[in-house]
Amino acid sequence: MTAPSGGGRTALVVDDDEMVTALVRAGLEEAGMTVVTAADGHEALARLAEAVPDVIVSDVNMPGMDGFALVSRLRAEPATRRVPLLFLSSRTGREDVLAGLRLGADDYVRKPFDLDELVGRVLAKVDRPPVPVDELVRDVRTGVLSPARTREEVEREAVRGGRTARPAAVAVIEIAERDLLRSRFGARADDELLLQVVGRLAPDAGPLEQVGRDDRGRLVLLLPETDEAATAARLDQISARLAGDRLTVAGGRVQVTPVVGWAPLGPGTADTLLGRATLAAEAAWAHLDLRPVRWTPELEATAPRPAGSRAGALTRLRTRLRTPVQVLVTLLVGILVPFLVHLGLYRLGIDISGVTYPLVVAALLITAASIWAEGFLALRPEQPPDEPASPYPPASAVIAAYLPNEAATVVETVEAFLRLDYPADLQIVLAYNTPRPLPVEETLAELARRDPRFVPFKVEGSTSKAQNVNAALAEVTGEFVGVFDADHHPDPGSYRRAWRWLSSGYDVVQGHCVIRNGDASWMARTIAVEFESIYAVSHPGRARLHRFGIFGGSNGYWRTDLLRRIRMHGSMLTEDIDSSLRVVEAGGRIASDPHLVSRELGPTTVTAVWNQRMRWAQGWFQVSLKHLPLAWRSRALSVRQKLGMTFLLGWREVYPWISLQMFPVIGFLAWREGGLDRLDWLVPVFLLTTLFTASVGPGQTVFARRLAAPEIRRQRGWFLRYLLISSLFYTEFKNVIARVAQIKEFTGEREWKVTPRATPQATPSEPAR
Amino acid sequence: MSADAVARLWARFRPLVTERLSVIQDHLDGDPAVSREAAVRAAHNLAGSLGSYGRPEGSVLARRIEEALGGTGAPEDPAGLQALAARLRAAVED
Repeated sequence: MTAPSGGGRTALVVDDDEMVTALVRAGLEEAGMTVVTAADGHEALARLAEAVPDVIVSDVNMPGMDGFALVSRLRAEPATRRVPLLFLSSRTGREDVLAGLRLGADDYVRKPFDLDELVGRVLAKVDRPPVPVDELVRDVRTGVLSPARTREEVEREAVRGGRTARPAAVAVIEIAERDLLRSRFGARADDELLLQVVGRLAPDAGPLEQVGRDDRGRLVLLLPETDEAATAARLDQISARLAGDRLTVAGGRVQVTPVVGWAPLGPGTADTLLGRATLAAEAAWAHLDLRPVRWTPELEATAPRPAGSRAGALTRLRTRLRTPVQVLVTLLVGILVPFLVHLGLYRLGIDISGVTYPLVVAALLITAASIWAEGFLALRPEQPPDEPASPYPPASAVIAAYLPNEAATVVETVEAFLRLDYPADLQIVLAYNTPRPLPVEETLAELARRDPRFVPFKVEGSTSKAQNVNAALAEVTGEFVGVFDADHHPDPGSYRRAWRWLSSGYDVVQGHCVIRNGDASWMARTIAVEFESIYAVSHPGRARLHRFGIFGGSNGYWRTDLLRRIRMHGSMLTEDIDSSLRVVEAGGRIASDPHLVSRELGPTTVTAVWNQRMRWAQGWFQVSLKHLPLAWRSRALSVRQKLGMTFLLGWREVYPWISLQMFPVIGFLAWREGGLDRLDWLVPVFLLTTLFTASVGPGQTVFARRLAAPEIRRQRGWFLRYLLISSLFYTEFKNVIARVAQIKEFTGEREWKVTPRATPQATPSEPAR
Repeated sequence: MSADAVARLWARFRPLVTERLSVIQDHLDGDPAVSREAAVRAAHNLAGSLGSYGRPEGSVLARRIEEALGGTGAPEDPAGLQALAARLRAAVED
C-alpha cells in the first residue's frame, strides 16, 4: 500500500490504452494526486495548454503524436521543460530506454509494471524535481563546469591572482574534427567526445585545475597556481595524449587533432581572458601541429574585423542573393514566360492550350510510368552467377580521401577494408591529398608498416577525387579495383561478389550504398530512405529497363585495365557519371547489384544536402550536354540503349521544367474562362492523370521499403516520414536544384568542385554519391 | 494499492480483454476482416497491461504473439501461434 504523499499535486497520464490509464489513475489518486488523462501526444499538449501538471507519465507507442515526440516538444518549451516525465512503455529494448532518457525523460518504466513501484517513482520525481542540465553548475556526467560558471571561475581566479601575485592560466581546447563529427553523427558526437576528452585530462590534473565549457562547446581548462613553463608542459602533455589515443564516436573509432590556445591570467574580465585563449586557439588552427599556442598581443592583429569595405559588403550581398535570384529566374522562365506566350498567342487568335495541355499531361504520364516500370523491374534485379567464371585474382581497393575532412575516421575505414574476406591478395590503396601535414599520416604509415597490404599514397598537388584515383592507378596491382570514398565500409564478402560479375563478362559493377548515420537527423533519415530508392530501386530497375548501369562514384568495381584507359576526368563535376557513360558508349557493360552493399555517411543538414545535390545536378547537366549527342552517334549502343540514354540525359534535364507547366496552362485556362471556379476540374482524364502521377511517390516509397537493406527496412517510421517530406517538400526541392543548376552551368558558376576546409568555420565536404 | 481495487478494475475491463483476445484469435483463424496490424496492436496492449493486473504469464504470452506476428521476434508456425493464443486465454481465465 502506497502512503499518500502526493496531496495537492497533479499528474498528467498519457496512454492510448484505457486499461493502463485507469490503473495508473487509481494508484496516483490513492496517493492523493489529482490525475488528468490524455490518449496521445496531441491531446496531452492540449491538456498542458490548460494547466501544467507536476509530473507526466506517458506511454511511448501511441497513434498521432508518440511519447518521444511529446517529450521533445516539452523539453523545448520554457513552461514545460522542468516538468518531470516518466515513460511507461511496452517498448522494452535497451535502445528505446536510452532514446527516451536521451530525449529528456527523467525515468523509464517498462510495461507490465508494478503499480506501487510506479507510484513510488512518480512521487520521488514530484518531491525532488530534476534540474535541467543547463541550469546545473556542472554537467552531471562529466563534472564539467557550465559556461556561466566557467566565466565566474576565470574571473575569480584572475582577481585572486592579482591580489596574491600567483601565476595562473586559462586554456581553450578544441577538437579539430568536432564540427565534422557532429555534422555526421548529430549532437551525440559532441557529448561522446567531451566525455572521453575530459576522461583523458583527469589522470594528471593538478589539484586546483578546473574544466569547463564555453558557449560554443569548447573545453576551457583553468590552471590556478601554475606558471607559464608548467602551463606549457601540461598543455603539451594533454595535446600529445589526445592525439595519440583513439576515441570512439557513434560506435566507430576516431583519431582527433587537439587544437589548444592559452593565455596567462592577468587584469581583465573573464570574457577578455577567454577571448585571448580563444584567439590563440584559432592561431593553433592554422597549423594543426598539436603545439599549444600562447596568446601574445601581436595575435590581436589577426582577429577577424567586424566590417569590411562598402565594396566588400556589396560583393557579399551579391553572393548571398545570387542563388535566390536564380531560383526566381527559373520560376519566371518556367511559369511566367509560358503563361505570357499562351496569352500573347491567344490575343493573336491562336489558342495553343488545346495542344500544350495534352502534351503536359502526356509528359507527366510518361515520367510516372517510367518510374513505376523501374520499380517493378527492380523487384527482380539481375543476379551474378553463383560461382565466378575464373579463380579469384589479386584485387585492389582505391579509397579517395581529402584528409583534413576525413582524418578522424580514415584509420577506422582502412581497418574495415583490411578485415574484408577475400581469398586472393587484396591491396588497399588510400589515395589522399592534404594541404598540410597531419598527425594521422604517421598513424597511417605505422599501419602500413604492420600490414603490407595497405598502401597510403599521398597525391601531391591534387585538388580533386579524380586526380587521387588516377594517380593511385599507378600503384594498383589488382586485376580489378573497387573505388570508394573514405567513409565507406563495404560488406565483408563484397569483393567475392564483385568478381562473380566481372569474371562473367561485365566491365564494371556498381553496388548499393546504404546510409549508416540515418539516426543523426531528420535530413539524414530522409537521405537514408532516398538512397534505398536510388540504389535498391532506380539503379537496378533502370539497368534492366535501359540495358546499362551507371557507376555512382563509390562502391563501384572496375576491371583495372579498363579504368586505366577510361580514367576520371577532373574537369567534370561528376566525373563518375562521365566515366560510366564513356564506358557504355564504347560498348562496355556496367551491372547494378543491390546486394553488393557498402555503408557510408550521408549529409545531415539541409544546407549540406543542397550543396551536394547542386553539385550532382550541375554535374549531370554537364554530362548530359556532352554525352547525349555522343550516345546518339555511338555505334556500340542498341536502339533501346539509345532510348535509355535519351531518357536519362535528355528527359531528366527537361522534366524539372515540364513539372511546372501545369501552372501556366491552368493559369491561362482560368484567365480565358474568367476564373478558376469556372474550370471543369472533374474531367476524367485530368482526375486519372492526377491520381496516376500522385501515385508515384507512395509507389517509390513502397518499392524502396520492400527492397531496402534490412537495417533501413526495419525503420518503418523513416519511410512514412520520407513519403510525407518528399510529397510536401523534398521532390520539388530537388526540382528547384535541377533548374538552378542549369542556370549556374550556363553562367559559368562552378564553386562546387573542391571542398577544402581551410578554416575551422568552413563547411565540411559531403560524402560523394 | 489494494488488491480489491485492482480486482474491481479488472472486472471493469474484462470485456475489453475478451475483445482483444477475439481480435487475435479471429486473425489467426484467417478472418479477412481482422488485419495483422489489428492483431499486433491487441497483443501489444495485452502484453502491456495483463502483467500490471497480476497476470504476468499473460503479458509474456501476449508479447510472444505480438513479436511473432509483427516479425520482430522468433517466428511461429500457425499451429504454434494457435497454441500460444490458447495458453493466453487460459492465463487470462486463471
